[in-house]
Amino acid sequence: MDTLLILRITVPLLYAVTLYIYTLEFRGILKERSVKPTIALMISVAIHLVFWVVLYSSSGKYPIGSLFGTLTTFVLLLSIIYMLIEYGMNDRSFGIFVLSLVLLLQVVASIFINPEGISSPLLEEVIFEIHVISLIISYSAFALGAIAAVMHLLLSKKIKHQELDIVYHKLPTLQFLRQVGIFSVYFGFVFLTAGIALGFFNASQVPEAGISLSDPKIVSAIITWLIYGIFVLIHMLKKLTAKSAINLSLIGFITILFTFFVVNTLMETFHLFQ
Amino acid sequence: MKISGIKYRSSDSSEFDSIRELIREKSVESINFDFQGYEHQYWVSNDREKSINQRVQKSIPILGHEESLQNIFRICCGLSNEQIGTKKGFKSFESAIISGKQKDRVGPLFSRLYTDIEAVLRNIYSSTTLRTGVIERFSAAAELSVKIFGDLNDKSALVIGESSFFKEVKAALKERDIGFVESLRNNKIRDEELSAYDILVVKEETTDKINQIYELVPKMTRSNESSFLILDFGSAANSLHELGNIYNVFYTHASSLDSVISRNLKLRSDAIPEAEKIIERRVKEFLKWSESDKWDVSKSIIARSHQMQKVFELIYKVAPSNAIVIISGETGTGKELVAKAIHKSGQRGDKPFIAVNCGAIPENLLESTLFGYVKGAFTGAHEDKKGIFQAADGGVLFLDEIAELPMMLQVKLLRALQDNEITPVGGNRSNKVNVRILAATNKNLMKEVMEGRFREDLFYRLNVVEIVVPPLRERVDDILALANHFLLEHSNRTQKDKFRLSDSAAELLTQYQWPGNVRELQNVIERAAVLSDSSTILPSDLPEGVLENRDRSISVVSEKDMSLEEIEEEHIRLMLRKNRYNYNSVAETLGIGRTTLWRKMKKYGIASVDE
Repeated sequence: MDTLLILRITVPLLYAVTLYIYTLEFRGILKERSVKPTIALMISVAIHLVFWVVLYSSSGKYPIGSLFGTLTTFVLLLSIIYMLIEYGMNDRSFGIFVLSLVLLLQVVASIFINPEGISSPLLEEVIFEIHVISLIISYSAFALGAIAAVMHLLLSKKIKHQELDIVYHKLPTLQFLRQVGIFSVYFGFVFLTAGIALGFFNASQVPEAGISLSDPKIVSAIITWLIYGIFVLIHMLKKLTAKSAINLSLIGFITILFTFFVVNTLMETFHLFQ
Repeated sequence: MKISGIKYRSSDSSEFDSIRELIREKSVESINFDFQGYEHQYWVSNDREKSINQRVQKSIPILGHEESLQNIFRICCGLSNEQIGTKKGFKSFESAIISGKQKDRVGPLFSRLYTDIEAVLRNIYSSTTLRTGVIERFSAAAELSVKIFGDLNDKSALVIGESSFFKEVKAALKERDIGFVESLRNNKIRDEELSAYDILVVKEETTDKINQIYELVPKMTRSNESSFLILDFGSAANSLHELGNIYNVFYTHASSLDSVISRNLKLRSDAIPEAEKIIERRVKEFLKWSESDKWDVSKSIIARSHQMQKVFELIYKVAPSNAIVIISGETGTGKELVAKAIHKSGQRGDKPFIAVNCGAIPENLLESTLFGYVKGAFTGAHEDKKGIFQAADGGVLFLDEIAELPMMLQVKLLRALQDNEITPVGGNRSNKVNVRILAATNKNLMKEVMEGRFREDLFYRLNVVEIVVPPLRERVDDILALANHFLLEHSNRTQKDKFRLSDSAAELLTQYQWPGNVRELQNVIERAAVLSDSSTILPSDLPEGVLENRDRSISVVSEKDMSLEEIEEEHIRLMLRKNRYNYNSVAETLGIGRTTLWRKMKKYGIASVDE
């Protein structure tokens, strides 16, 4: 079996084990002598990083040109951002939520998508790489914002229903989740704007690629930008309620997932570089 | 000596008056405290005084040494009652220790026990789930508020309920640093002010009131942006739960907080086995310590004063560690005895204790004395010789008069302290040493540093823990104890009849300033014992300097031109010495209140013995 295949299987498995350990800790049943959740996450991220480097060295290009490469880079970045948050906050309550998404996306990336990807000369431009990396960073931030929104929703429902159980005890305060959500959206919005602008610039440099504003991926990206733009605007006008923040955050992230999976796999788009 | 204890219902307290009196009179140390309706009394009796325990046993069963220790530890760590993890037991014990110290009823055993219990509590609260603390309804409600709002600093709460309810709610919310808590009962609040509140805490039963609250809430939830919390402590049947349907309004009935309370109880209960283990280890260590003779510093240092009890406490605290200790105090206060006590009470008690007076050895010999030399290092160095650093290896090196250490050797000492290595004179190889350093000085080392006579780096390296031995004039209670001890020593040595001090001689001794401290007192007593014609020491047996204090308060008035304030100050000082700092007696003698006495002492800068 070649190294790429082994790593393609190992990485989601490691994330699965890590999620299991985080779940045990969340439920307060993790045995004292078992592997610490943070250690498990560090190992998973380290192996994932090795996988990413192997992908890079096998093709000689950053693995961001294909859907698989972009998705696994997104997962890796999300895991690293979460690890930094965990280190900074000294709190693992986000763990099972982030890792559930990480595992889901990595399983999809490992199983369904062709790791060979597509190789187009367009993808070798530096400006293209910055365009993709900006978008991946913004998606990671939005993912975190969506996770904070789900946690907020879950916790406020628990309090509303007066079910003060383990979820109530383990999650951080509603105020904190709100702040994380807002910060993530602002952060992601800056990178999304930059990524889209660079995309247009890049497209204008290669008119022969036949880029059109009606391209489903561009339409989807602009819709995402508008959703988060509305979020930022309402927040700046101090009119953002907890309910609308959660709704916008979740709708925005669903649009991103739609762009990733539906647009890239089912629709005709020049972004497939075929 | 061992600790014994009894426990009886506080309501039956009067039945045990005579027992309490017996214990107070006959025991060496004793404390008592009330906890959960029971009076707990613990005492330390001398083995020779077994009669106390036999007499107490006739009225009530006695707890033995180990059982008493376990009981005290369990009470203090909150393991002996329904409220597991509560600190109420420790607070009662702590008050008993403080009160016992004031009454001179707490000595080395209870002092060490107090220190050990503090350490166990720190350990338990850092390593077990007892750190969560006790959560009851009001603190659970406050925790819920934090869960919703995060920081409560800029939040405010309105409480509807009787004043005792308001007080409890306020205390719990204040514990979580809430900005402001107001009672609706006490104040009329205008409608426009209602929107300033974030939390409404309700305990009302009547329908009228409930209707009123229904009207209040929409006025209070002024914007969709911010959350609003209603905590309902009223009857669940009349609950306000419908208000919880408004999106940003959180409604919680107090009954739902029960799950938080039971979770907290489970967490605390889960901590019991680990806490028990920690206590068991400490009890074993205490038993080992108390059954050895290491603990009894009072065997080597005669002291009854509060000031010296504080010194003893410090000795017990620093002895088990390897920390460097600086012992400071005037000449003759017994600094070396303190060093010996630290050595004996510590883990190196059975290893060598070597004392060096840095001021007494000529400068050119000091280096080779401390660090040793190798053959041929200087004329006359015919063979290698170990220094006292190596001789004290594994044990304690006491450097007396450290301020006299020459600058050149200060550098070498600093290196020895930092690297635990010494290089003999003339040698080029370092040797590892394992020595605990205790140092003493009668000078102000900081001043020596500022005047350039002592290295700053060495000062900070040495100044880990400082024990200040107070001068004898500040611990009047010790003067007669020491005098009697020296008389007994003299009698034993000379095999003469036992000497005793006459009342007038004793009074003169307590009035004298003792510039030479304990050493001077020892010499004065020796002289008196030698010169005395009888077995009673009379004023005439005392030296001239001591006699000058006779009727000093009267003579100073007659001889000097003094203002009334100066006379007052002098007289207060005299009375304090005479009454051994018993403020009640002094105040009574002077015909003033305790507070007035305290104010006057403060005015004249007279230090209180408790300070």
